[in-house]
Amino acid sequence: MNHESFIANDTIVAPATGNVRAAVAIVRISGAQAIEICEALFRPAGKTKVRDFLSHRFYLGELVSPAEGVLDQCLAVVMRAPRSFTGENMAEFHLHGSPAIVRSVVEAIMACGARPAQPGEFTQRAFLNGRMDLAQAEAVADLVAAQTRLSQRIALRQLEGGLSQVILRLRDALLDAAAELEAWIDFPEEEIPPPTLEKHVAMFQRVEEEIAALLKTYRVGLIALEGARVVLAGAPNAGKSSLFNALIGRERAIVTPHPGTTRDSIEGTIDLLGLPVTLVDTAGLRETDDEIEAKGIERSLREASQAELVVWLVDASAPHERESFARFLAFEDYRDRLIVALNKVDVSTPQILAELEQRFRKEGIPVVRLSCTQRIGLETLEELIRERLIGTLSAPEEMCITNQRHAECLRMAAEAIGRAITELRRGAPPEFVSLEVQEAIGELGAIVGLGTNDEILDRIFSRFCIGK
Amino acid sequence: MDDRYDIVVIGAGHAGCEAAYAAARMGAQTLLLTMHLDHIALMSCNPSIGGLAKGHLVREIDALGGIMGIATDQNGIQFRMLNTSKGPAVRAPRAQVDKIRYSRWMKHFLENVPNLDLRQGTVEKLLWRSNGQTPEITGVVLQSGERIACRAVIITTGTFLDGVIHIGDRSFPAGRAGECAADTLSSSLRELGLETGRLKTGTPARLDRRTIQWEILEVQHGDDPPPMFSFVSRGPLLPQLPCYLTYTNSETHKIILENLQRSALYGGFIKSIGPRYCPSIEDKCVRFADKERHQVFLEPEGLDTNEIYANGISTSLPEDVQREFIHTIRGLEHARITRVGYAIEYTFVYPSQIRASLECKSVNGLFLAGQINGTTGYEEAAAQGLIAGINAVLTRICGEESFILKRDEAYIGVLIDDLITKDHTEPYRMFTSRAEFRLLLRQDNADLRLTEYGRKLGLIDDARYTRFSEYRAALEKELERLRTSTIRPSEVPRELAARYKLEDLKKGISLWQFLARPDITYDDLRQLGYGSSFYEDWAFDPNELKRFEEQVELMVKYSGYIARQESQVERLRKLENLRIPDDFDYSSVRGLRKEAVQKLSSKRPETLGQALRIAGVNPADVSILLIYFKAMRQPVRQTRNAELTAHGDESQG
Repeated sequence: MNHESFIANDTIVAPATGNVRAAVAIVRISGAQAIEICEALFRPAGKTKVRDFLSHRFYLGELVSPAEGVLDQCLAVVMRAPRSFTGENMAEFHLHGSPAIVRSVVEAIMACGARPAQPGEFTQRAFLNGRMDLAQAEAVADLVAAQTRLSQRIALRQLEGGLSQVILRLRDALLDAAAELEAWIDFPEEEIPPPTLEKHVAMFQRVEEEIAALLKTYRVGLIALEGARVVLAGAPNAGKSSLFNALIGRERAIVTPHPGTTRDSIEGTIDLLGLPVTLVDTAGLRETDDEIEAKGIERSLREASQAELVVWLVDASAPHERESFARFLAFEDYRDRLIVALNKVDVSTPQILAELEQRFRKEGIPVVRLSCTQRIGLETLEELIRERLIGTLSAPEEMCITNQRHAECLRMAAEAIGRAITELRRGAPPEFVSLEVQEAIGELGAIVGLGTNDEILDRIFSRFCIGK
Repeated sequence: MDDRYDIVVIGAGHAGCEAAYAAARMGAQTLLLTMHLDHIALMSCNPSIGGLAKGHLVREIDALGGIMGIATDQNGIQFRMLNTSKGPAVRAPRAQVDKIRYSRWMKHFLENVPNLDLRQGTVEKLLWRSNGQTPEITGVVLQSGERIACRAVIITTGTFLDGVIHIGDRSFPAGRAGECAADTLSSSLRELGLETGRLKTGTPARLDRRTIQWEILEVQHGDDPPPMFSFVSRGPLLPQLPCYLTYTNSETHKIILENLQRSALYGGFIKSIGPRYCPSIEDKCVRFADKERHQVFLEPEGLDTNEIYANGISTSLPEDVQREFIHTIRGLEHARITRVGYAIEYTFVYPSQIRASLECKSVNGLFLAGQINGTTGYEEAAAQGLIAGINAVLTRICGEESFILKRDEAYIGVLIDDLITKDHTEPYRMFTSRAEFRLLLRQDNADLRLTEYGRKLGLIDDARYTRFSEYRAALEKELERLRTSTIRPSEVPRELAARYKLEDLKKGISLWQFLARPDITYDDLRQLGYGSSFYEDWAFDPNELKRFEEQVELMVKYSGYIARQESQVERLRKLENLRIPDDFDYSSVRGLRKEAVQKLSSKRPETLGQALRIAGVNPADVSILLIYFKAMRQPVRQTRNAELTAHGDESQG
């Protein structure tokens, strides 16, 4: 993993735009597989197949992940070697500017065989492929150094807490296992007991589980660091814009009593109990013949599907609207990221409220009573949003994975350990098990900046009496 | 007039013999100097060759055309393949050797090599000229005062350089028990600016065969048939002998611990560091106090001697304590010591001062091989000797690029790369775990990896090369057949189809896929009638056919893992081929971290691949160097090995 930045024939991916909300975000792929990957993920709106795309020309279409379905409607552009920034085959996706979309897209591209680019790697490749002149060389070197230092600093900050302790502990357990295997391999004439299958399988499984738990914190960690998108959705006139304004704390969205006023999404970012949260006010959902309104509704649904959390507003004073959720959205897709807010409780009846509450709680959805005009329940809602987003955090905040590279290393480590378990179970020779264990050690070491050097040998000599 | 040679090799141990032989075989007029002509290729310590990783090294030496493999096969008195219960990559041959015959055989062998002269003599100092530039070796001066002119010197002094033996509180200068140390040569090295240090090693007592109660000890026989080291050997020549196993006990440990302060090591008489993997018995008792017993292997030193090597109780305790603790060991109650165990300290040269060619970076024409580079072991020494001999001829005589094996090509490559890139605090010994591409570097395929190189270097004769080429061609042909032929269940008798679970395979299965199944061998293929007619006119002997089939099975069964390691190798190859200029000033590179500048400036790696392996240098540093060289149009060029490499590679520069 660490060595891969020197190899120009593998394929790398990274967002080319920063990790901020903007109208457009660009994800860039470079390397031998770039166009192939583009073809695998991009479904062109027109007839031209990706492989037939003209170089340097934009094409409209949908980005489809085999795992998650349509991720976004976007533009794709293919730039063929050597006439590209890096001098290699390149592809770019110009997406809607949401970090959540960008993340999903990068992950989908990685699933196709690309790896995350190292700091400055696009520029480095451009340089090595002769796409830059000599005068730029030192600047490139500075850039690589600076970006590496920066990313190291960021990584270090994340690792200063408990995370590095956990990684080191897992790595340590693997090093012990590797030492046992290697001692058994390299010193057949010494009295070294063969590694016991059950003990090792059990230990590998524990490590695998811990890594899986860490990987689960990846999403939470990202939210803690980068914030989340919270979509306010519901039937027209349920009070989405009122809630939006109440939370934003100033009049920005246009609020009128006529249903269907918000035809496009409006968003604003607030500091919600310490979390950067982008609130998205969307067009109300209802059956309509109005073409423009239908487009707004389509947009609302897309926003909801990409949001980290949806707050579904129900007009508790107009109970006929209470069925609308199921008409537009499926509970299964939202169970973990949905809050129902019963708005206008001040003009509702206890019976209706109880009935609505029961209906959603039955599905396991938290419900909060709200009145935007009377400012009732806003604090409860904020707390609930925070809790839903970062949980009753299963891990302390400093133990969260927020770095894509760390997540990738952990994933690779978990896969290697999985293979080690398979090898052990099928009775494979020890050097094959060791191969996997050492790969996992390498991946974990890459997170905390450690190679293996002679650590395994050191362990062998301190634990086993070796030598004739 | 001075005697004149192309190459002078100082020291005729395992490194010196390989170096001299390779140089002479490659056509250089070579002189092999030794302090004692009857002590050529002596085994100063245990009478055995091979074992894990070491056996791999010997197979590689043999595949390149060196001598150690053949010498072992000719003089071995017990052969075993270790780790047969484990996987193919970690099996290795080991042999007990008649050390007297080995030495005699080697002397006679070398005496008959064209272009090679053997001569007794001690080198007093080196001669060089510098003219204000990098010094260049011009010859040696013997203790007699005689001068011998040459174009390259290979120093393989083993433990002789300023050697000091310790037995208890007694110590005296010696290169080996009963032999003088070489006490003047190291000042030449220091005058040339080479930084030296001290290391320690040790050896156990030898016992009288007649005084051991053999009948109560565990016996350990060799394998039948005995596995050979050389790819050309057919079987051992000498009668085969067993070894015996006994153990120390609490009484032994008590005596050792009570007398600890009288040992040279614990009494403070030795300051140098010994190897952790070859600890003295006093070390074992102290560091692993809870261990109830330690193994002691009793190994014959030869067919014509009663001396027995007591493997496992290397010590620097005084003679009386050695006798006392040995007598507590079962079977050794009345054992008579013929030679006492001792520790020895000697001078070595910090190996970051040599290139991968084994030539000193700061002295042209001066090559170092073996223990002088901080290694331990006959096999490690021989491997370096071979490479030093080859490179002395290539670079100093022929004016060609040096021959450098990469880490993915040979244990020899791992060994030398580790020597020049790592920090060393103890004598370096090879282990299979040091080779990250272990699955590729098997003892069974050393010839496929290296014999082509040996041929190009002029170390493999026509007969052997023809045989090797036939073997390799047959392998390729057979692999092709396995890939392209299919077993059709309909053509297989029903009971066989059932036994091999073939019934459900409508389209059939390729021979390759079938053989890839864990429990399938060539015998099964033959059962099914898919053994090729190919075998009927097989030109090799049955042993070779067996080896052939094992090789094919292995290539098929492990092809997935092998491909995985090969792709890792491929990714690093470019870096390995990119050279850093000798006099490069790292402090002139913007963006390079201070620590990296310091480490790189002191280790002075020859390639970016080496740079990456230096502790304290990270991948970003190497990226920066890569960019820098590319930009500055520094002579970043391919090493010669890129041309020799079987896989081929496109140039980066």
